[in-house]
Amino acid sequence: MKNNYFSNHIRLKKWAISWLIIVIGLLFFASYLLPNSKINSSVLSLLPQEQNNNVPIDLINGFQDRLDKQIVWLIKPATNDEIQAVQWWYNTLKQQDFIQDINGQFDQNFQQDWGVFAYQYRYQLADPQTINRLREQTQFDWVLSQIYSPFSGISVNELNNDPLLLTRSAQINQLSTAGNLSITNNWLTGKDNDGNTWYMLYGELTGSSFNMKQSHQIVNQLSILENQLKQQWPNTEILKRGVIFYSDNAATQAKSDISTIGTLSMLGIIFLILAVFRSIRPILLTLLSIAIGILCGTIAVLVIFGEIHIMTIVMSSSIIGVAIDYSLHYLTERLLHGDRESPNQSLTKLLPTLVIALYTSLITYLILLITPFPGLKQLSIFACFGLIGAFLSVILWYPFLVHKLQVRANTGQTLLTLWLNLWQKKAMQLSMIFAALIFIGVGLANLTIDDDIGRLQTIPPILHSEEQQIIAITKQSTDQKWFIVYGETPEKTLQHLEQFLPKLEDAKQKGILTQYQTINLPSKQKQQQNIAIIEQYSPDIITALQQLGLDIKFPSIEKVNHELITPELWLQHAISQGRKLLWFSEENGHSAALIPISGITNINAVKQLAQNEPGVEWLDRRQEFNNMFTNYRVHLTQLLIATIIVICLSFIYRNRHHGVKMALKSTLPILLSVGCALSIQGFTQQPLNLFSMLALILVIGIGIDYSLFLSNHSEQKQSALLAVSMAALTTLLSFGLLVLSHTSAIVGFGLVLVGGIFAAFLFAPLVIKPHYKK
Amino acid sequence: MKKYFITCFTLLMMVSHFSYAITLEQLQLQFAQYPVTRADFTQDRYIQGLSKPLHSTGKMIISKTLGLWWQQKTPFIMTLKMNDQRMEQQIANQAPQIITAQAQPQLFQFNSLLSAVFDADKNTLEQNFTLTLSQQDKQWQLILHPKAAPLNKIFTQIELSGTKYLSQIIIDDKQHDKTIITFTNHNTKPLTTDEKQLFQ
Repeated sequence: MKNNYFSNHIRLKKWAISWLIIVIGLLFFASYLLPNSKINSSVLSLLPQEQNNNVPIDLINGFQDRLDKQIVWLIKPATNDEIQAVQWWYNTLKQQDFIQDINGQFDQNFQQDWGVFAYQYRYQLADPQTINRLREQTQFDWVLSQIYSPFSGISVNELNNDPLLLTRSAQINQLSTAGNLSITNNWLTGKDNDGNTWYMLYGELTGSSFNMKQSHQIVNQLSILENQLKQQWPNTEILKRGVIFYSDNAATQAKSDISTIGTLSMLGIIFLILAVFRSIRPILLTLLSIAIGILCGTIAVLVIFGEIHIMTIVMSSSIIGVAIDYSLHYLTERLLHGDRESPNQSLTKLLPTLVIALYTSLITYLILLITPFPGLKQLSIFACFGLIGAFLSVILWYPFLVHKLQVRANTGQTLLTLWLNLWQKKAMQLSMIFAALIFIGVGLANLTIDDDIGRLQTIPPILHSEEQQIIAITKQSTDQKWFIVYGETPEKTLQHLEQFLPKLEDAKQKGILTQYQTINLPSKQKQQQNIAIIEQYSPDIITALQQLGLDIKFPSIEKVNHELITPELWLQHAISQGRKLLWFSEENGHSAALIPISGITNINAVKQLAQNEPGVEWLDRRQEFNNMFTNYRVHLTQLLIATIIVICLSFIYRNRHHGVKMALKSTLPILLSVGCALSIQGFTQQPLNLFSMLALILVIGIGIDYSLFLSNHSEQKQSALLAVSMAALTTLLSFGLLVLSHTSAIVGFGLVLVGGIFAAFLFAPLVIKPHYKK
Repeated sequence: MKKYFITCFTLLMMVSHFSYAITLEQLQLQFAQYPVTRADFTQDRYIQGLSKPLHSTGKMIISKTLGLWWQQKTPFIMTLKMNDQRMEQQIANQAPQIITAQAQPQLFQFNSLLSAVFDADKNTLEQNFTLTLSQQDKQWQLILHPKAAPLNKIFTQIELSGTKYLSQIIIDDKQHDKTIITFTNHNTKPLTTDEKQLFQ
């Protein structure tokens, strides 16, 4: 900056105009980008995409996406058999265009389709028991026992059409469906503990569950229909379960979070600026730099990720408090010294500290980028670009915009001097440190650790209790513990499945697990084997039946249906009822079958089943995520400790000239702020998790600025302290308001930040060298 | 689907312990009387197209707590055990065929019907059957007409008759086949240890 003032001014003007052109360009770009952008509100997409297994991620996501589209209703009519209400609900759902594939009714057509299909493809669908009996030549004995049994109700008709009783055997040995469900009055039903019948209907959303506006309309429409149902049949109860209800709830809450937090922090900041500056211009200036920050952040996120997550928006509203610091520093400088220096001089004076402040904030936000969480990555990008945008607006434009700003050199001087002098007293320092240590000790004693991802989402009590009731009635938990069997083609997948199932059945017999569900679709290879074996043995059995006196005709070989069942055919028929969700096939042929597992008694034994099995993997997503949370929390803790050590050492190094005591004292603000941030969690019963660690990183990144400013400004302690106080207050305002969020993870995040930043601000004067000159 | 039959059958056997009962309410009192009933049976199945019926004989035990044990002795051995959770049917040298409430949920439904019968729950019985109870001298007769699917798809009617105990069941199938089961040598002593083993 050795150039003369004039050429410098010209150069700055050029820069300012270039930045203006860029901003106008960005505005145009945003006006094109925003209408076409997608706001994501899925909680799942906040979760990491990384995994520790070999299943193609698209298969897992395909399954997940489909599960997310499911909605289940349970209806309890006034009396157990009053099914008009159920029928009305079924018919009404059928008329809605946002939902497809309504299931739950087993009418005549359904039963007939099931029966006809099972009969037509009885060779292909032969159960393993039948195949075994044929091989062991005991099938005839079994047929005979069925004929003699008074309980079987066999007719001559059945014997003529299916002399080997293949259809019957397949039905007896059909795969069990999990849960506690049965069929009543041709409907799928469950019973609660009081013996009431609940009718179960389920369907699939046509679109994606996660278009916010649509899903809000759908949820509204469904609740209108529910009210109509209850009006017509007053004593009817209805329960629902579906990701759409949760995501809509999350979106609604996030929206109200944004409006509450955003509005309040804006109002608070405006009030604060008015109180200190007593004019409108600084407010407009700060709003300008914040707006440009938000513009840059939003564009960066949309360009890099193609969408912005609703939680990013909630968390990003807290960036305002950080972005505003640059404006405040500059404006405070002008407020106190605007009469003694030109705007450019002020800038020159402040630039080093502003750059350091930006640099520390950028580093802390960039640390968030290495976490595997899409939401946090977005936040990190948003913050980095937003801060750069706000920073550039301050340093390039403010010097041209602050000419008319009034100067009040003595603003808050009494208070600030009092505060600084207070901190000069040894007694004050010691008692404050002592109080902080006690606070930290008590807080840390109450600190617990919990990495459960359930904390990511706060489920409203009503939805939660409905979910619990549904689990109690259907015995179908929402635990997503399953094996996934996959292959490059449907056929390969089914062959892998057939190889694996005996092992699983064996485990079930041993009591390692109580229940598993799988599809009832044999591979083509298996179907062909079945047909061959049945054709080989059936003549002998039919001959034996004829000798018994039964008039049974040989089925001619042409009459045997040799057509093989394809997954498409299977999906089209009633036989796949209740199992369709367990099969997933992509256009490129990649396919997978899910096997949900319940009642696990020995988790390790279950996991081991998948070992050395081609194309079989154990999946427990919640556990996986929890492990991942734990891992990252541990990694971040290590990173944090390393960071704190580096920072403390550099503080000690910086202050080495002022004696050992002073050097050590300069590390106190950061150590105490970290301690207070942690103990706040102990006091508020918020368990420590990954999010607290992330918040701690921000505490360090932001809190360090206060110490830096106060120790840098050897000349003007008051102006530094005023700027720091305002920066701290605005930051506390915007982060503190996160506590109002509906999501406990965000509340915890906010608490840590508030505790930490408040402590950082409180103890920052410790770094001031004793006996400074006013 | 035809397995409901088993349950119904057991249900019928339960109806066997009463005498001179005219109303279902009075049946209820009779039910509590014998925790165990044994009898020998003779069964003839008249199947269309067969010149003579399929004839078989055996024994059965009904225990209020353990369920039904049914063993055919001639022309070949076949054992059947049933309670409100599972049914097991076995012939010599073969793995038993097991049907559980969970694998065949419909069956479970009928079992809950069965437990209703234990309590002579008139409402539940009347929900599933039209009941006609009549009496001549000491001989009573109860005719059950199934009301709804799938019961009414399987048989047209079930006729029970007896004096002190149930002595005969006649099942008329929808296919015009008929099964007649006759019980003799009734005995209501408590179960022996060996007998309890049979239910395992």
